[in-house]
Amino acid sequence: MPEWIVIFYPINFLSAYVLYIYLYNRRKHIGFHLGMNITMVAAGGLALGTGIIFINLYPFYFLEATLFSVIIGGISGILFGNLFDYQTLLSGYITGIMMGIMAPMVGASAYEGVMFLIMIEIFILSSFCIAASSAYKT
Amino acid sequence: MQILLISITVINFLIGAWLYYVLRKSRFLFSDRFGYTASYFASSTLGLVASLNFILLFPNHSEIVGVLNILLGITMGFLYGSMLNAQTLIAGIYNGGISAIMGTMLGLVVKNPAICGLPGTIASEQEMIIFFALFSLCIQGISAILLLFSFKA
Repeated sequence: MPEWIVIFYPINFLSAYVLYIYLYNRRKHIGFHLGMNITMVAAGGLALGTGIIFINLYPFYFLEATLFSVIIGGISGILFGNLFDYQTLLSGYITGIMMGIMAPMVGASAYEGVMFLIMIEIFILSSFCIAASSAYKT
Repeated sequence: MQILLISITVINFLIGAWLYYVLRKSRFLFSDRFGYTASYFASSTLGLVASLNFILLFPNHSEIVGVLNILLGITMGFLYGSMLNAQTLIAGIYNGGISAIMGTMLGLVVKNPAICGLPGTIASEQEMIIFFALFSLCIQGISAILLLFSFKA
């Protein structure tokens, strides 16, 4: 497993931060259902991206990978959900935790080749772009 | 160590039963959307935590315990979802089953990391079991606090 996949960590976190700033300026004009879907996409995607990179860099540390993914997923679910409503916060938190538990196991199955990881990262980044473009109103 | 696992299982079930009682007392005040979120949240956490605890308690009979976990998760979802209308029932049953499957998978990987393709762990098996039992207790506690805080708002 090559060492340059560390570059995906700051790419993921910067994309999530840009999405957060973009939504923060438009949060009053987004309805509840769209807000819940955007929160689930953002929290789940960030937890999944963190988990698969960590378990492929350090394959012997399953405990720390699960703990790190769950914490990142829970915190990002709470932060994205707090933009809209309290029930969106609950939905984001649960989705973040579920994806954080699943992420190291998904990442461990990418042990042979690196193309699977790159495809998952492209999927996560394009789902962030779709979530941002769905909130494109004036 | 069996005593620690049994006591954590009992505490988690007690927290789940208390949450059920509190939700049932004020179920007529819920709007549709809050009923959906509450049943989704409560049945998901309890299914995950209960199935993880049972797999850690009985590691030698993993097939039968896995089947029982899915039935238990569906029952929890039915109990939490039968409060309001058909939408909460569907959400509760589905998410209870899904989270029970995920808890079973997590427990099996803790016992035997070669299932997923991982080459092994540095922490010993005893440490992993104790860590995941306390982890399930923390998740259940934080989820109960978050859900109860929504009643004040």
